[in-house]
Amino acid sequence: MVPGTSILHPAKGAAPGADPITTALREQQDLSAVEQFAAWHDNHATPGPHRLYRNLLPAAEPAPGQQYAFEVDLDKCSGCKACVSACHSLNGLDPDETWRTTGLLVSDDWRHPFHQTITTACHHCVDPGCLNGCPVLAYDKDPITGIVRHLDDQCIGCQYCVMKCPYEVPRYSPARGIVRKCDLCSRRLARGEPPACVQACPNQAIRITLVETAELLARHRGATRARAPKGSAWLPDTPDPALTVPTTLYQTRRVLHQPVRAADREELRPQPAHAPLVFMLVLTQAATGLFTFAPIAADPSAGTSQALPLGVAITLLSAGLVASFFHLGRPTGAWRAFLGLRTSWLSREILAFGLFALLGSLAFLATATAAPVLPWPPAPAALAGWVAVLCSVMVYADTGREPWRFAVTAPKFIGTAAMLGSVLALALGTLSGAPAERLAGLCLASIASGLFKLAADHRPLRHLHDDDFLPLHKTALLQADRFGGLDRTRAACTWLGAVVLPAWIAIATAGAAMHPGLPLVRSGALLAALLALAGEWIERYLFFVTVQYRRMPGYPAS
Amino acid sequence: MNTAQTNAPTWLRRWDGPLTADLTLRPTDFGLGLVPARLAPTATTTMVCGYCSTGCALKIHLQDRQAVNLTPDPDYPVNLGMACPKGWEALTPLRAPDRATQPLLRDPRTGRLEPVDWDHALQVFTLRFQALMDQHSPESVAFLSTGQICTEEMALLGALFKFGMGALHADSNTRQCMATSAVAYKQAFGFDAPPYTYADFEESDVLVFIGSNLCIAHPILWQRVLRNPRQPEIVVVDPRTTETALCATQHLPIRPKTDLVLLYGTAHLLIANGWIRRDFIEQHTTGFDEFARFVAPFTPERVSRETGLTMPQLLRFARTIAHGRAVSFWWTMGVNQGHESTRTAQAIINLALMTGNIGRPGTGPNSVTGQCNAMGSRLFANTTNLLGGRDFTNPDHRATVARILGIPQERIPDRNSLTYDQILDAIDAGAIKGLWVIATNPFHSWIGRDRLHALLDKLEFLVVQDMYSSTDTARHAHLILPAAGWGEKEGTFINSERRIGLVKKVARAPGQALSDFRIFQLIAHYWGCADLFRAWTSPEAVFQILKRLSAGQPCDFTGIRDYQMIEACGGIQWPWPEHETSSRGHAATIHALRTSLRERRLFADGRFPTPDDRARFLFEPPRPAPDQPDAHHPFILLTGRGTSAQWHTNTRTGKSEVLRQLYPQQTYVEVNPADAARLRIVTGQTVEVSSRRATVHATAVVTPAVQPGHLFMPMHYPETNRLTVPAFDPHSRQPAYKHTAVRLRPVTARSLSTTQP
Repeated sequence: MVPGTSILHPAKGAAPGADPITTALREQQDLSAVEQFAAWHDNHATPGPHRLYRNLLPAAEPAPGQQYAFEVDLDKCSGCKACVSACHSLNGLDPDETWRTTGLLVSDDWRHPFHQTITTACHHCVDPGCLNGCPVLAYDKDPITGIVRHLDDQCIGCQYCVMKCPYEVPRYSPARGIVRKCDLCSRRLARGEPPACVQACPNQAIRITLVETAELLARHRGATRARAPKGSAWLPDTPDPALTVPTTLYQTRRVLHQPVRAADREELRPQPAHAPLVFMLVLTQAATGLFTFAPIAADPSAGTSQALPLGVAITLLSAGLVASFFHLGRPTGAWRAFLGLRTSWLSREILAFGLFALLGSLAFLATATAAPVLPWPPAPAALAGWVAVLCSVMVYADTGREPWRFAVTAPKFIGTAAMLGSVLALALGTLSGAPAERLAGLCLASIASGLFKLAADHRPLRHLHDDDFLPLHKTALLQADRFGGLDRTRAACTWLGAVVLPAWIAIATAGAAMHPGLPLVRSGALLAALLALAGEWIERYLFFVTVQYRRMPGYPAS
Repeated sequence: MNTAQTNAPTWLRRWDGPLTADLTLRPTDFGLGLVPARLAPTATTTMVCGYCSTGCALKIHLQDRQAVNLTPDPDYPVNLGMACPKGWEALTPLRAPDRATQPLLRDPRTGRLEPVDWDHALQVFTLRFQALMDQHSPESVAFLSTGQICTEEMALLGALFKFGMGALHADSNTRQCMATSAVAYKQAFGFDAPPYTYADFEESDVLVFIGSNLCIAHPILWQRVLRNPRQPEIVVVDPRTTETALCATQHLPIRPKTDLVLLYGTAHLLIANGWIRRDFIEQHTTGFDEFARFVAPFTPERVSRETGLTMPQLLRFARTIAHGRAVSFWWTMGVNQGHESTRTAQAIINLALMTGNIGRPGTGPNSVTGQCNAMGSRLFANTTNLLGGRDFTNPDHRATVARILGIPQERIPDRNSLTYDQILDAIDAGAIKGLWVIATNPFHSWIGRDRLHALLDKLEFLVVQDMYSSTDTARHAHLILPAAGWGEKEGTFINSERRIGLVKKVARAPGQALSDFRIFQLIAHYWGCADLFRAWTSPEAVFQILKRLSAGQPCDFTGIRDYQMIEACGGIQWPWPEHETSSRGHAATIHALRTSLRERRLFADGRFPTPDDRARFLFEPPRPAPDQPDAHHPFILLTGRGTSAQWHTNTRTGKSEVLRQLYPQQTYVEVNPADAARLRIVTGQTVEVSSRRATVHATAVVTPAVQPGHLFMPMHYPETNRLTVPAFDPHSRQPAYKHTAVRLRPVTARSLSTTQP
């Protein structure tokens, strides 16, 4: 055939019968050829893969006082990361879900070049943070194997375990509305089959071993711990093992030339903002403050009703509690939140808010109906509110994240309650015609609490020049640089709303120079309340997004 | 199972339910143990992985003939039940949303790629290429192919292009990867024949790795090193403290591209101390005396000065080689991608020859190949070599091939093709105007890749045949031909140890994508040369042709009956000539190839496929690397593989969300802590890296894995090869990716080293 002659009518002559394109497309979709080979395999079924790995499992089940644990031989790990992929494939995880992760430790000393891949999964801790924090008992630590299992159908998707676990093990799936995590392939282990990661390591660097839990507790929390430098008892530049007492054993015969650090230690990772929690915290704290200051803004004995401030307070509280439901992946199970009361500050917070809402509603009904038959003062509600605020503080302090420690979080949350309570009471007081001397008191309260809050919010910035890229330094860097504009807006709002405008009102109304009921004063007070609220919203957003914490080593530039 | 389970009523605490059921595991047959219940296979089949040259076998889990999952095959002699993350995720890229599903033709009016049907696409292909060849010359078109498609497809492509279409210039991305090893072996041994088998990793008592980060580039081969029961001495020659270097008993952190000096210096020490095998040299080699005279000036003092190593380090290295009972030398891209790479590879071969470390278990100068079918390409791509490792310029070879294929001898060109870099030069010069790119991505991977953009205007017709319409190269195409990928077609690959393994069709190609084999068949048909390929009806039919082409060659595998025999044996290494099978009988052959002959090495008799049966000592004075650093560009940039979860230009590995979690997403550059402190750079900061050709931004990663004064950037990020310098080894024309002078400066402030949430 002469080249070129067949171009326009390619099917003619060249391939009599079927059009070659149609044939090609049909044959491309035909998968029957694979069967002749598949059959060969079916007829030669081999024993399970575990025959290769007997020596990677303990010979016996755990005795009392023992549990299963991962043991990683760092000297054998060449950094191939097959463990991550194999876990994903053999457990049928979602496309982006991994239960095992890897990262890198590097030395800072260029004369002793060193780097080491760290493979990490759930550490099936002796004292699991996830389990302790779960409000609905969706975690179980098996009394025999020590495996920490997550009960997927019990989970309400509150994600508190994500904050409680120092190792970022539970992963939240928005699509499923729950977290999932490694269960040490407990069903494989029960059959004498090694976990997926153990099966997949080409270098046999991961094995399952038995550990003595009392020994681990002594090592990580006992008296001997103080003598070892922080963290070095387990793995350098990782979370303090005293938090949860992880069971994984990392073994090496190499001398780790100090200082060894996580390769991604310097990287700043903004965290999820948790908008529903921002709303919940700000509004419930404002409500607590308002229940506290309402008797000053409106005194029944002085002829003004508390119905307005208490109505606003109960509205804020309700809105905050409703907002919190938007944080849950599966809110219908939230009624079980009392189950974790024994160990979970989240359970306690939820219960305290329930009590607060109940007492607050009673107080509001008592004033709104003006019925002396229900003489229920706001004080018990306020008290319940403060207990709830303290529970909120503990929810975050209990995560072990340094920027959220009690000494930082408590002043913030208490300050928010006091400041928003006094500024809102001031605004509502001007609306309902409270006497000038009472307003002056509220002005003083808001100025004092505003200054206190400004100091509390500025406090993390003291670590701005630490230059050690530890969590407090990194949190300060985020607050000052990456989110610097927002943070300065926050400070301006608080200054104006809680300090400058209340000071102006106090001065303007002092000595009856200006009547507190004047529209100008009322507008000023309302503006102060809105600015103060806006400032707290920003502050709480920054509280979540800027928090940095010690984590397992990762990869930089990820 | 759990006593706590009984403590709370199930309405209060739910241990089971639909969410728990999602993760149910189920026992299966097929030797798999527990697998996810929803992915439980109804059958399995084994095939060779489509990434690197290790050639691992993956057991594909099938439901209704289609792949749903996979596990590494525990019975395959290569990987022994293991795979790297790429292998575990091998099926994921097939399901990517940006697969090419129909031919796309650029509309000259809108400049956009518009869908067309295959008939139209193939007519355009044929008309445009024929018009160019008619108007200009048969030399005005070229193809750039790949080491990633099946041998049968490569052979059909090469035969179609040169014998059918009558074109001449063709090369492939194996030029970037294995050209050096091929040339080095061919010149030294008479044939491109890596002599080893993977068992040699386990049988050496000294392993020398030169420019090879085996732990990361070939992690499953490192497994074999760790199975070595002899507590071997492991020497790693690498400027970087790689994962492999950290596992070494001796790490020789040489200055970049001083490997040739080190190897000549080592030869000098071995000769000076009498640590050589005179008997082997005299019986089986030529050129030793000249070589000995040549290395005389490479004194330890000079070598120490040039490499940066101490004299005790040099002496210890030489003594280790001398005292090793079985010494194996392994090299990869650190050697192959150098400006004098062929002589460097041959300097390694020289060390093995002079110490008699060849042909015995645990020995050999062994090149660890790159791509899954680079070895198939080296024998059958019909680009540099005529089919079967032959020579286009040799009339006897042309006559043999013409006879076997039943085609007129004048159809076979009597000249060699231009090489990859020369093809680009010819485009630049206006001599080549039509380019067909198959399963490779030069707009990302070519050295100094910015040049490609400058060439676009000079190309009248650029055809890209690929699985994805989204590659850096496909975006510039005039015509995109949608190709089926690994797992969607049949054929064979040849791995680093010469093992022929099977690839199978276990997934349906999306839309109208066709296997490369079918596309080549259709092009033959539209071109009007289908008659020449009447016998090339299927990949397995072509395999029979390839067998005949191998007959009598050192790679002779005429004893392999068919695909079923490869399957039954767990892959078969070449050579396996017909008489090996016929003398044993088929069943006994399969048994032998599954057991005692499963791992075979070459040259046990000391005879090499040269005219005089002797291996050659080849050498040449070292030259300084091009692109030396100066005050403006004080750093030396090294490039290479980043992680085991990344493959080349990330076209496929970038499609897996699991793999994406295993490597940095941002382009990064590794900086030594001393340099970082001096320049006030911390990890995570954005920095600017400038070479004499381009400036790119990258994220700094401070690590002592690179020496002071050196930087390292992985090749997987498109920025990297904007910087590299187009320099080539004169013998293999392989690009020298490992030595570029650059400058480094911070762009953002230290505190802005932020990653996205």
